[in-house]
Amino acid sequence: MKKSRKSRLLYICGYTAFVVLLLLGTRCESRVHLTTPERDAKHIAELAELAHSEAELKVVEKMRANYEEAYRRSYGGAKALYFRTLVDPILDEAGDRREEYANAEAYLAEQQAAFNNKLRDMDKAWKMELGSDDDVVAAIERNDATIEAKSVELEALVAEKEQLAIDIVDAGYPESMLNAMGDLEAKIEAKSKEIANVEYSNTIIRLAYRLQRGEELVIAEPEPEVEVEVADEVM
Amino acid sequence: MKRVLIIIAVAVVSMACCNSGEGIVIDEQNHENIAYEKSYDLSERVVNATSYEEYKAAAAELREYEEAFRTQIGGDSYLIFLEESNAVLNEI
Repeated sequence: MKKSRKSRLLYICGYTAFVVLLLLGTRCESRVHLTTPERDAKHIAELAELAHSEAELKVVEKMRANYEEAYRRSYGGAKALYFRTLVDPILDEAGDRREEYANAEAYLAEQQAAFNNKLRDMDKAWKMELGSDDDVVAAIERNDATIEAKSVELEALVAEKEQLAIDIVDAGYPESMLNAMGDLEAKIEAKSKEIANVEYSNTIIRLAYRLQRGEELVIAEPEPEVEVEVADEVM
Repeated sequence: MKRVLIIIAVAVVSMACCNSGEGIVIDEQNHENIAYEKSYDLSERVVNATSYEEYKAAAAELREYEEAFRTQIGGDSYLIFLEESNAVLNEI
C-alpha cells in the first residue's frame, strides 16, 4: 500500500517536471526580453546598423519578427503594430543596403573565382607536353575544325528548335511536343558545352605555349583566294 | 640528469611556440599597402616564372597571401589583393 502511494507520488512529480520542462522549452525557443517598443526598436536599429552582410541582415529581420510576435502575444495586436511602425522604416533602409551587400558579395565571389581559375589554368598549361611547333599548330587547327563542325550542328539544332516552337503553338501545346522541346534544349546545352570545352582546350594550349616558350603562338592565316574578275570589254 | 631534462623540455616548448607563430601574419596597421605591394610582386613572379618549379613556388606563396588576407583582414584590402592579382595574372 505504502509502496503504491510512493510510486504514485513519484509519477505525479515526474509528470509535473515534464510539463514544466516542456513549457520552459517552448519559452526558451523564442525567448525575447521585452522592454518598451521604443527601446526594443532602438536595439533592432543598432543591430541593423552593425549588419554588414545579407546573412546578418536576415538575422536582424528574424529578430524583428520574434519581437513583434512576442508583443502580439504579451500585449495584443495594437502594441505589436506600434512596434512595427517604429521598426519598419529602419529595416526598409537596411533592406536597401541589402542589395548593395549582395552585389558586393557577388563581385567578391567573381574575383575569387577568377583568381583560382587563372592559377588552375596556368598550372595545367605548365604541365602540358607541348611537342614541336608543328604539333602545337596541328592541335589548334584540329580543335578549330572540331569547333566549326560542332557550331554547324548547333546552328541546325537551334533552327530545329525555332521550327518546333512554331509547330507547338500551331498544334495547341501538346505534351509530347513540349517533351521533345525539352530534349532539344538539353541537346543544345550539351552541344554548347562541347564547343566550350574545345575552346577551353585551345586556350590552355596557347597559354602553355606562352608560358613554356616565352612568346605568343602565332598561326599564319592562309592567304585568301583572290577571285580574278574579267571585265567585259566595252567596245 | 634532472637539469638536462628541464633544459630539453624548455627547448621543446620554445620550439613549439616558435612553430606556432609560423605562417604569414598581415600587419593590421598597414594591410592596404601590403595588399597592393604583395599582390603585384607575387603575381609578377607567377607570370614571369621561367620553369614549372619557379611557377609552383610563386603560386604557392601567392595563394598563402590570399588566404592570409581572406582569413585575417577581409574587407576592402582582401578585395584589393584579388583585383590587383587578377589584373597582373590576366596580362598573360
